[in-house]
Amino acid sequence: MSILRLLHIADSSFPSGVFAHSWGLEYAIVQGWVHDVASLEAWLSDCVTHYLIPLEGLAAQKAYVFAAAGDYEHLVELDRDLASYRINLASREAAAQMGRSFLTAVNAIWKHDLLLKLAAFGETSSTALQHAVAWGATAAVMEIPPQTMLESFLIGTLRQFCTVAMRLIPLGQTDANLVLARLLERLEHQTLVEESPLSVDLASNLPGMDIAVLGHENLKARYFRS
Amino acid sequence: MSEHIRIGIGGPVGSGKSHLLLRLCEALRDKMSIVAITNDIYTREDAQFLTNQKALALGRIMGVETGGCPHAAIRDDISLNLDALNLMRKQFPDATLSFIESGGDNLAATFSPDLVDFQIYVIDVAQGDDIPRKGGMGIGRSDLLVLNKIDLAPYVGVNLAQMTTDLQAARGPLPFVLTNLKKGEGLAPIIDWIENVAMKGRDQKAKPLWSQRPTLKSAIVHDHHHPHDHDHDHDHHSHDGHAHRH
Repeated sequence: MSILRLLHIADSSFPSGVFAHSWGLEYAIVQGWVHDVASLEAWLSDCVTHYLIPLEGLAAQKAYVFAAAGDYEHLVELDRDLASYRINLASREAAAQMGRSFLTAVNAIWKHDLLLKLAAFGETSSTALQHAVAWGATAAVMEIPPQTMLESFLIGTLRQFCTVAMRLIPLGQTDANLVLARLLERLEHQTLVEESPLSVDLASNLPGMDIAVLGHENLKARYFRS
Repeated sequence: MSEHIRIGIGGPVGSGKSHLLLRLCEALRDKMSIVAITNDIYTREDAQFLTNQKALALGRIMGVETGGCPHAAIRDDISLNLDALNLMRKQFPDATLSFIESGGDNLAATFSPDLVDFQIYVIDVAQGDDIPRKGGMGIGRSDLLVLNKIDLAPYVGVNLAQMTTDLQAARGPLPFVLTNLKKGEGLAPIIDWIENVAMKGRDQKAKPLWSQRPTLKSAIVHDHHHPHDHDHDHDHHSHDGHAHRH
C-alpha cells in the first residue's frame, strides 16, 4: 500500500506547484552557463552532489525521523533551519509554497494529526513549511521506506530541472531523459541514506546555484518563478 | 471571513482580459469588496497594468507568475493561485468578490472548480470568425462568454452576424455578450450578470448543453429497459448509439 501511495503523491500531477520553479536554472540558461546536454548534466550533477543530497535530501531524512517519532517541535525547528540555508526570501517562500500546497493536498485526502498540525504551522508565515520537510514527514506517516522516500524526492526534483531545460534550451525529450538516466545511474552507486541523519548537519556548497537563484529574481521577464 | 464569490477570467493572449478586469473593478469597487489576482507567464505586467490604472486600492491586486504553464496554474495544479488567494483573503477578510485572471492561453484552457465559482471567457473578433466553431472548454462551457473588439470586425473581414449565430450554436443556453471594451460598449450586461447571477451563488449557474445530455448510465438504462417508447427523434447513427435529439 505504501508504494501505491508513494506513486500517487510523487506523480507530477499531484498538486504542489513544483512545475513553476526553476531554482536558478533559468538564470543559468539566460547567462549561457547551461546551454546544451553536457552543460546541463554538469550543472545538475553538481546540484545533486552539493545541494540536493546534503541539504534537501538530508532535511527530508531528518523530517522522516522526527515525523516517525511524532516529534512536531523538532520538525518545526528543522523547517526553520532548512529555510535559513536558502539564499534569499524568494527561494524560501517558493519552497514553502510547495510544502504548503503539497501538504494541503495530502491532508485533503488522508487525515493525519501530525500532518494537519504541520499544515497549520505552514500558515504562520510565508516561509514556513519547506517542501523537503513536508515530503519527509508525509513519507514517514505513510510508512514509505526511507531509501524509497529519498530516491523519489531526488528523481522528482531532477525531473523538474529537466523539464525546465526542455523549455528553455534546444533539448529534446530523449536527451532530457538520457541526462536524467545518467544522473540516476550515478545515484545508484552512492549511499544516499544516512544511518543517523540527526547526527549530520545540513549543508549546501553550491555558490553558482546561489548566484543563479539571486540573479533570477531580477530577470525582467521570467518563464519560471524565482 | 465573509462568504465570497470567485470569478475566473480566461481567454487567449490579447483578447482583452485585463481590460475587462479593469472595467469591472472600476464599476464594482464601490459596491463590494474586491481583490484581483492576475496570472502572467513571464512577468507581472497585468498586475502592473491594473495597479497603474488604479483599478483597485493598493494591495488588492496581486500578480502571480505561473511558470510557463498558464493552463496548468488554473486547471491541473492550482497551488500557486490558491496560495495567492488565501493570502489575499487573509489580508482582506471582508472581500466578497475575487477575480482570478488567467495568463493568456489557448482554447483548451479552463478553470478548476476548486479555484473559481464562475468563469468568464474572453475572445475577440480579430482571432478569426471561426473561433466559435473551433470550440473548447471556454467557448462551450464558460459561464459567460465575451466577444470583444466588435468594432474591428469590418477591418479584419469578420462577419459578426455569422459569428453570433455560431456562438449561439456553441453556447446553447449559456450567455454571451458582444463588447467593445475600449468604449465600454457591452459592459453593462456583464456587470448585471455578475451582480444578479454570479453574486447570488453557484446554484445560479446556467446549465450548459452537455450537462443536460443523459449520462452514459441513464442512457443505457433508458435504451435497454424502455426502448423506443418515446416520441422524440432518436439518432440511431451516433457512435455510442444513445444520443438523442430533442
